[in-house]
Amino acid sequence: MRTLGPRSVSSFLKVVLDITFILLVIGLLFFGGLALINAFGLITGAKLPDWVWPVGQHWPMFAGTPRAVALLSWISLNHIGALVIVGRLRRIFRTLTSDTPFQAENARRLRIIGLVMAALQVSEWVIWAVVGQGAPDRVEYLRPDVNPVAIFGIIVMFVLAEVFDEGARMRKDLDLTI
Amino acid sequence: MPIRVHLDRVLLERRMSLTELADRVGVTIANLSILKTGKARAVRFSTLDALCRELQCQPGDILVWEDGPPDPDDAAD
Repeated sequence: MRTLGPRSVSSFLKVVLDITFILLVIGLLFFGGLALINAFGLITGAKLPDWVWPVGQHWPMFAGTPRAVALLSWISLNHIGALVIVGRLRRIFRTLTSDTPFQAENARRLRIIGLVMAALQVSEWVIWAVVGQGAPDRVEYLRPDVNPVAIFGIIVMFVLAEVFDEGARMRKDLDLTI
Repeated sequence: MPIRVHLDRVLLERRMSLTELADRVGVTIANLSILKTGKARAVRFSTLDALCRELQCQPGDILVWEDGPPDPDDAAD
């Protein structure tokens, strides 16, 4: 199997990304919808059925509460962040399958992916500050920790962006070599 | 850049068109235009060899160094 070009490893990975993108959209619609319903219940004071809070059996006190809205909103934002990442990766893979990966635009996309990954990591601490403080012990699993793998991944993204920038410059030189 | 390309001058002296030269040396017209207008970053020896063979000239007839400030694109590198 070829590395680049049509019917290659990159094309297969692009299909995986396409499926992931669709699943993330479905997840965003699901959790976003639940967040909106819980927000509606919070604002209007309406009694919400148990199903609007997916873990209502364990945390019934959360349905229609600010914590529920915050947590579901955070999950939705994570889906949006993941969609941004997967969306950029899909566009990068589109250039891979057409055999022109070294473009300045791909470097920019990798930087955006790194920034979104960093933002998602920071958001874990923010949501903990919102949801975790004063909450029952059962939310303890939400407590974030320093994830060295995630931090390393963010650094790798920025390094790769520099590599792609240099690659784009070399490609430009090659294109202008007669 | 201080390297000037005098391809159009040599073509005029040989009474040859850019299209004809492109066909003879196996380089696209677009690439020869890039070379002719001084936008090329580098020239392969094989290309220079083909140009000199078809135009019956020396590399110095096509490429000339003139003292002067570098082009903005080169300065950016």
